[in-house]
Amino acid sequence: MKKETIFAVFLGIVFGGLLGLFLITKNKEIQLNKNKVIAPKDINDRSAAQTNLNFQPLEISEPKDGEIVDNASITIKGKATKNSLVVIQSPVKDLVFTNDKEDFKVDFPLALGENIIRAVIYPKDKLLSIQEKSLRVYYLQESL
Amino acid sequence: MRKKLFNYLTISLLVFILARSVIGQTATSSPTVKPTATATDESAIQGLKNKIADKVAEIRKNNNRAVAGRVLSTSATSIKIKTEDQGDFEIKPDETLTKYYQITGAQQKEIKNEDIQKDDYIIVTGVISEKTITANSIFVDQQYLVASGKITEVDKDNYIVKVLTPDKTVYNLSIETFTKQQIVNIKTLEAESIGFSKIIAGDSIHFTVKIKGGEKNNEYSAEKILIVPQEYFIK
Repeated sequence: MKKETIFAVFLGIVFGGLLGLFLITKNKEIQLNKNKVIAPKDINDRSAAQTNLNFQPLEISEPKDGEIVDNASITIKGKATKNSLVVIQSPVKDLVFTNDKEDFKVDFPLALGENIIRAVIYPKDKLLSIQEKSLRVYYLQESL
Repeated sequence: MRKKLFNYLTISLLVFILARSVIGQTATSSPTVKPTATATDESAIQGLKNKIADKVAEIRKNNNRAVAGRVLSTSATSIKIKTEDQGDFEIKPDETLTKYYQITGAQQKEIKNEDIQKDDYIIVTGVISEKTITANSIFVDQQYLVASGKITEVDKDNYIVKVLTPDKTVYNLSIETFTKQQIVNIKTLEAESIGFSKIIAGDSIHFTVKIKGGEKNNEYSAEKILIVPQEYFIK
């Protein structure tokens, strides 16, 4: 075989290899572009961060669980994620409201004896889960 | 001279006797002062007694705790109860101090210790030491269950609603004629009365039931229900 022929074959292999490499790289790029996320990544991050920022776990500071009172009503004080739907239920009363602020404070009637008071929070933000808390308050008329 | 001396002596004796009688008078007047001093002491003692009684009442009130549960067994000296979430307790009533009451609606009447029966639901107040309660008062009361969840099934033929709670408990609620049925108006958030046909699977439900003690398969007659429609969450 002539020297020129060997050189031409060698160049052909080199160019062929380079062309193949170029095509593989280009194909990968096309595949990546096809699967890319439509929403910009930073918006998702921002939304998650905002959700975490707004989240306030349900807290009931008053009354305490197991408290004994001698009045037919109490004040319930607590904290929950802003703009949630708050449902406070007991055997004598169901109270529904939205909390414009994190803190809420409501008067609640009691029945004589044991009162199971249950607070359920439905956050406006669908990414946040429903929260609930139950406590027992005893309205008793006893002489100590 | 003798007569003069006699007179002096007589006068001196009289003065001495008079002086003694005066001393005697002051001595007899002292008892009238003494009772005043006793009354002051007594009021001081009474005040102290009241202070001690107030302090004891305050300590009793501060240490007064309540536990509710169903009676497992009763005897002359103790009552055993099973609570919903704190295990079993032994109650030690005091023969003279412990008082017993029956709560019916908004009324409470005093009963006797023999009136406490097995399976009664009682509230006990007193000083708790580990799993023993030294009872001040015992109240027989009605037990309620207050819960919420999602409606998974509505049986329109038998008026039964199946509810799944967040802790994965399934309740079968029988909607009776006496059941107070309400729905939250999604615009005003007011609770409005509804009929059974308005209850839809997928809605959130808050319910209250009376517990009698012998229920099986979480089947209860609902006392009241409050529906939060699913439309509220998609508005």
